Amino acid sequence: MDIKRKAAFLTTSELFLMVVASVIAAILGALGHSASRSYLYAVKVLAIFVMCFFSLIFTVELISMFKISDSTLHTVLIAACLIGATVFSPDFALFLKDKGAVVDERAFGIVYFMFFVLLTLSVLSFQRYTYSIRTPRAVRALTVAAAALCIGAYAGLSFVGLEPIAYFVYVTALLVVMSIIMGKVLKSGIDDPPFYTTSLLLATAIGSSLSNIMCGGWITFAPYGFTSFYAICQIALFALTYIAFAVRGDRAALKVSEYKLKYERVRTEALRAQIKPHYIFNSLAAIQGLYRRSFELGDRAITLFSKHMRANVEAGNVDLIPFEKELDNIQAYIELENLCFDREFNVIFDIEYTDFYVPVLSLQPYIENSIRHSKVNEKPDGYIKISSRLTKDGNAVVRIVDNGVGFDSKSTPPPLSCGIKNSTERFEVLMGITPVINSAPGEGTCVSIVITSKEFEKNENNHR
Amino acid sequence: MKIIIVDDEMSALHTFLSDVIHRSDIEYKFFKDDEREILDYAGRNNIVAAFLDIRMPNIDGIALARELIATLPAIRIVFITALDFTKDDLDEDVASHVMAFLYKPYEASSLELILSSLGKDAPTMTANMFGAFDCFINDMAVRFSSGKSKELFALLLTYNGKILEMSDAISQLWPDMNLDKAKPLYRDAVWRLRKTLKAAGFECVTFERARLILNKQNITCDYWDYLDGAISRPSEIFLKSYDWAENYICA
Repeated sequence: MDIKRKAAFLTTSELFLMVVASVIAAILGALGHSASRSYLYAVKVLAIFVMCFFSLIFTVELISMFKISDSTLHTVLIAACLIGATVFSPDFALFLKDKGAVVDERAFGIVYFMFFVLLTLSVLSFQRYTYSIRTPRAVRALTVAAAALCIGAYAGLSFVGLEPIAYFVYVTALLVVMSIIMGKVLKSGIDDPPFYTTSLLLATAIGSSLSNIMCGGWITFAPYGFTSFYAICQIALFALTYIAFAVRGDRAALKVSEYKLKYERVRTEALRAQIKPHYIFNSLAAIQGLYRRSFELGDRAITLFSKHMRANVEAGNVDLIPFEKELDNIQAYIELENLCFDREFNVIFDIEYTDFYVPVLSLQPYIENSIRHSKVNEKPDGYIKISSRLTKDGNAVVRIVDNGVGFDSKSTPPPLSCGIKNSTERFEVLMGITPVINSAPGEGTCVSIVITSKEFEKNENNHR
Repeated sequence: MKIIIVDDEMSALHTFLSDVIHRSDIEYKFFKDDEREILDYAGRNNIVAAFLDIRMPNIDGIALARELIATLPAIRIVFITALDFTKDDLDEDVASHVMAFLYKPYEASSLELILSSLGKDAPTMTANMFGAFDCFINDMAVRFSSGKSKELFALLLTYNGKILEMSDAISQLWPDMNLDKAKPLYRDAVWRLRKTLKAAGFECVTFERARLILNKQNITCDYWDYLDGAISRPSEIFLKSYDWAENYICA
C-alpha cells in the first residue's frame, strides 16, 4: 500500500473533527449521568441484554478466530476489551452496589482502566495492521511498556485517590498517538468504513471514559450515580464496527473470486499466447532444411524444438517453475533460433543467483522480443544479457538487457507483443509484481523484475 | 551386457536404436508390451539395464520397473518419455535405480552417453591439452555451448586442482578488457560450463562465489601426466588456440 509514502500528520480540520467527536461523547456521557433513576434502570437492563447478545457474537468469533484472519483477531480483541471495560466500569460497580452487592471500587477501577488501555491499544493495532503502517519493533515494545506503566501508575495513584492524574496523562498521550495514526491513514486517501467506525469507537471510548473519570473525580456534576449511557454508546459502536467488518469481509471475498477468474483467464491465455502456429511450421521447415545439411544438425534442432514445445505444454499445467529451469528453456529457445534461422544472437547469461521461482515461460517473451526487434545481431558488439542478482535486502533482481535499436517505452500504448502482455499479467496475478520496461529509440531495452524475498518464500512453499 | 527396450511404438525406435547401438558388447532385445514375457526374460537373463517407456496402453512403465527391480536388484532403469517427467515424480525405490531420462525425440548423443556408461561405476573424462583442446566423457566429445566456457575449462585443467579465482580467470581469458566489462562474460562462461557438465552428468567443478575448484577424480589429462613425468613432452603445442597457455609451457 501507498500509506507509507503518503504518510503525514493530521490536518487541522481532521484533528478538529476528532476532538469534536470525543467532546460530544463526553457531553453525552455527562448528560447521561444526570438522567433520572427510573429511566436509568430500564437502560441498564437493556444494556445487559445487548451485552449478552454481543458476548454471543464474541464467542462465535473467538472460535472462528483460529482459522480466520488477523483482522478477526483484532475484532475479537476489541470486543473483549469493550465488554471487559463495560463490566468493570464505575457505572457497573455502582449498579451492583445499588443491588446490594459488596464491591471493591478501587479494584474495579484498576481492572476497568486495564481494559480501557487494552481496548485503545487493540484499536490502534488494528488500524496499524490493516493500513500497514510500519512501526519499528522498538516503538511497539515502547508502547506496551508505556501502557503497563500507565496501568501501574493508575493502580498506585488509586491508593491515594489521585488516579485521575494517570488517566488524564494516558488519555492525552492516546490522543496524540491516535492523531498520528489516523492522520497517516487519512492522508493516504483511504475510504474505508472500518477505519471510520473504529476511529469513532476509539474517540467515543476516550470521550465517555473522560466524562466518567471527571465525575469520579467530582470535576463534573453528577447528582446521583453513574450511567450506562456510555456502555450503550460503545456497544452500539461495536455493532457498527462489526457490520463494517462484515462488509469488508464480503468485499475481500469478492476480490478473491475476481482473482480466481482473472487467474483462470491468464492461464488459458498463457497457453494460447505462447506458441504461434506459424512459428511451429517455420521451425519445422527450417529443421527440414537442416537435415539436408547434416543429420546431426537436424537431430539437434529436433531436440531443441521439442524442449521448447515441452516448456510450452508445461505452461498449461504449472504456474511457477525454478528460475534455473526457465533459463534452460531460454537457452534451448535461443539455440533453436540461431540454428533454424541461421542467425547469431550473442546471449550472455550473467547469472549469480537462481534460488527463486518465476512464472513458466515468463522471461522468454522478452528474449523473443529482443530477438525479433532489437537487431542486436546486426551490430558487431550487440548482445542480449540476462542477469540475476541477490540484493542486500534479500530480493532477487532479474534483468534482461539488450543494446539494440530500442523503442519508445513511454508511448501509449507501448508496442508490446501478446507474449509480453501475458507474461506481465502472470507476474502480477501469480506473484504480485510488475516487470518494468525501459527503452528509448537507439538506446536499447532493459526489463527489470524484482522478486521480493517474501514472494519467493511463498512460492517455495507452494512447490513443496 | 544385455539390455532390454520396452516401447509399444517400436518401429521408429527400432530403426533409431539399431542405428545408434554399434557396440558389439551390448546385446539388446526389444519388447512390445507383454509384461509376462518381459519378466520371464528378466528371470532367465542378467539384464544390466532396461529402457522403458512410461505410458503404454497395456502396461505402466513405472510398475514394470518396480517388478524388474524386484527380480534383478542391480538393474538400472532408463525411462523413455514424451512427458515432462523427472525423478521427483518417482518413489525413492524406483528413483534409486534410475540412470537417466530420455525425452522423446532423443538425440543419438544422449543415448550414446547412457550406453557408454553402462557397466561402469562412474563416468571418466579424458582431456587432450596438447594441440587443439578437447574433452571426452566415456569417449564422447563434450559439447561446450560457447568457446569461452571451453577455454575456461581448459584453464581449470591447467590449474591442476588449484583454486581458480575470478580475477585470475578474467586476466587470462579477457586480458584486454576492464574488470567490470569482463565480469558478466566470465559469469556467462561459468554458467555455460556448469550447464555443459551437468548435461554430461560429470559435475567435476565446485562453483563458489568468484572462484572455481576442479575435482580431479576420474579425469585423465595428458598435461598432468606430463607434469608428473609419466609421459615425455608431446610434440604438439600446448593448448595451441589459447594465448595464455604460453605462460605455462612455452612453445
